[in-house]
Amino acid sequence: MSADLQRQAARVAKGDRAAFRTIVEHTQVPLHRLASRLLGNPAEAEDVLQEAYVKAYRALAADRFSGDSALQTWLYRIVTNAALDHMRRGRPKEKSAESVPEPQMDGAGSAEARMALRELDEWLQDLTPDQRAVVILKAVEGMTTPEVAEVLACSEGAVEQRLVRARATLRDKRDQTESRKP
Amino acid sequence: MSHEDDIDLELGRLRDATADLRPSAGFADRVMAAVVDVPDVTLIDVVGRWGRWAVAAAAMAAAAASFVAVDMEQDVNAEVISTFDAVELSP
Repeated sequence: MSADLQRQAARVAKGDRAAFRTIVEHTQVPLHRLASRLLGNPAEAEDVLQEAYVKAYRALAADRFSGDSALQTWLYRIVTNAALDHMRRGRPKEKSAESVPEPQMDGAGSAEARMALRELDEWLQDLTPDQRAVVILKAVEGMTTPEVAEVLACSEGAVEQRLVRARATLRDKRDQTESRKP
Repeated sequence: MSHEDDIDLELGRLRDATADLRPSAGFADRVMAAVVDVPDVTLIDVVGRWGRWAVAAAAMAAAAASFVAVDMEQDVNAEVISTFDAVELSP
C-alpha cells in the first residue's frame, strides 16, 4: 500500500488529480481519526484535515514532496502541524462540560466514539499542544519515538521529555480527581 | 497498579473507543472540490523553484561587475600616475 501511495504521489506531480483522490480515499479515515483525537472535535478535525489535504496537494503538484519519508508519515506531519496551528490560534469552542454539544449522529463515527472523544479531550485539556500531540501520536496512535520525532520534526529526546511532562500532568489530574471522591 | 499503568490503560481504552471515528459522507468529494480551486503552480512555487538559480546568477553578475570596476580603476590610476610628472610645453 505504501509503495502504491508513493506511485500515486508521483502521478500527482505530473498533474494527475485522480491520483490525489486515490490518496485521499486511502488515508482519510486514519488521518481524520488523528485530527479528531488531537482536536477533540470531529467537525473541526474535518476542516483542519481538508486544509491539510489542500496543502499536501499543492506540495505534490509542485513536486515538493522529496520522497525521503513514506507518504503516510509525510501526511501525518502535515495534519499534525495543521492541528497544532489550529490549537495555538485558539480553538473556537469553550471547554466547559456544559457548553460541549451533545454528540451528533451525522456520520463521523458512532455516538459512543464521540462520547469517548469528548472524554479524551477533557482528560488531555491541561496539556500544552506539543505535549498533547506526543501523547496522541505515541500512546494512542502507537507510533515509536523515532516516528513521533519525524512527524513533529524534533529530537527523540524532546519527544521523551514532553511525554514525561505530559504524564506528570495527567498523574496530578488523576490524583486530584481521586482525592475528591468520597 | 501503578499510576503509569493506570494512565496507559486509560489511554488504551480511549484509543479503542475512538477507533471507529471517520469523516462524514462526501468528505473526499469536498476535498477534491477544494483542490480544483488550487492553481497547480503558484508564484511561490515558481520563486521557490527558480529563486536559487536567480540568486546564483545575480551573485556571479555582481562578482563580474566588481572585477571590471577594479580593473577600470587600476587603468585610471595608471593614467594619473603616468601624467603626474609630465611637463606640458606650450608652443
